[in-house]
Amino acid sequence: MKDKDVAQEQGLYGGERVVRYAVDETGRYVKVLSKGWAPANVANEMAIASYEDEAEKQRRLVLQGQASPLAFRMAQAKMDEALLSEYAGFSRRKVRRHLTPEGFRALSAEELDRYARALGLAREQLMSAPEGKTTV
Amino acid sequence: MTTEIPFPHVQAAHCESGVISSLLRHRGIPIDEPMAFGIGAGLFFGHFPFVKIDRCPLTTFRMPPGFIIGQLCRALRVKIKSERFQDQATAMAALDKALGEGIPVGLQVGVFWLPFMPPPMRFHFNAHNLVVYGRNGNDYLISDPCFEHPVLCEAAALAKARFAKGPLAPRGRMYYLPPGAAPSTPVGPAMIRGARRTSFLMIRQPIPFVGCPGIGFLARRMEQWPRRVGSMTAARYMAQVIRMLEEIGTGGSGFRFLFAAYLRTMAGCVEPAKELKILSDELTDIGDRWMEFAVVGARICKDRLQDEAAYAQAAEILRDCAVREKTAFRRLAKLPLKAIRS
Repeated sequence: MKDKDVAQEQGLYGGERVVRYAVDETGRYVKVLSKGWAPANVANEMAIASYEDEAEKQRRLVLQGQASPLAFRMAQAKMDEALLSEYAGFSRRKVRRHLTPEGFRALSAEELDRYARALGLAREQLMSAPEGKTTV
Repeated sequence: MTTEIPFPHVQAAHCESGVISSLLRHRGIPIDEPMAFGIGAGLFFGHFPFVKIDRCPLTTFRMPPGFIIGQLCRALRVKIKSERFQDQATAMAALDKALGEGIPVGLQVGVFWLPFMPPPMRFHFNAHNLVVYGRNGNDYLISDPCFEHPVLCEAAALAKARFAKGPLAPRGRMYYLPPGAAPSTPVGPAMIRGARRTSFLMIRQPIPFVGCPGIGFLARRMEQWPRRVGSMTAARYMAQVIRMLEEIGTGGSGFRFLFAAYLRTMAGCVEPAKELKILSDELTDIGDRWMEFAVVGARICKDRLQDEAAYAQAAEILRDCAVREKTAFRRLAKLPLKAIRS
């Protein structure tokens, strides 16, 4: 890869640029800052889309009364049962139960706070119905 | 509390080699990123279909987190102090104490909780590294090697990132070079050791998932993806390989360019320089080939190509990479390397 050929195709890091190593005219390796490269951007967008799809799916289920708001917030935080269980300190079996509307309704204020802290949210946010558009 | 340790921020491709080279330079040991990466023997390949990350098989282009720092410090005979903690309060107090003594501190953190990361990049990846070089009230001054400029991070967020949970949980890990005279280990022999170790890791592998044989293994698995897991999942798997190759701070082509840069530097203080330059060029060519693979792979992802021919085409490039890397590392392993006294 030649230094002048390093791609500058806007990626997902906002204004940030990343270092790539490339060869200059004299054959030496130099650091070149790059805004992004299309194939890497495609792969990144796909990874993010898969999280967004999951959150969107959960949002629908919550609105249909088939999942608890916790299920949506978990997906929004890119977490799965195992990770949420570690963060909140509940067993996986309990987490699975709290992902259902019935299980969620039975949670005490203190337990809700544990989930809110684990997800970096306020308790009200955790309890509220998901908003219109899903971004993760 | 306000402290600021003079610490030149240098952007790097990869967090671990970036952080450790910065810490070493701060202590007067002139090591740049490619040298840290090469002496630390960070280059690798592994494909583990039975380990799933984000519902994708794990593919890696480097040794596990922490390996580079360990190898590098051993090779240079530099003492590094590393600690883990039970709870956030103790961990943050220890950080403040070190900063108070004028020592810049390396931290292992989870990227998900770092407020300065662009939101789309916030994944639950727990082996990110950064340097804390000061504190201004409630904010820590941070030199994150993946960023162009130093950044600030609020204390509560940093504490949370230090105690991120899940795979590779940092458990508050911090590391630093204790004050004292820096050893003046000659760099030549350390560089030879790194090159030897890397060749060994790439070609002498008893299991088929890793090293050069691992690349061929990935090629074989890849051809079967569309049939085995369906076109949607296969495309996700492909995207994951490309992300590990290009995205997770590799400096391009799964660290191959970084290693080529290392061989080039090595040619300055190790004989036979001419051979090392040829091998560096070869690694550059192999890196370009990996980029061709990424282009083909990205097209598969983008157009959700169903046909197995496209996967076979990608796999064919991988096989070429496997053969060429094997030849290159065999040659490197057999070179009669000798450090030049300077």
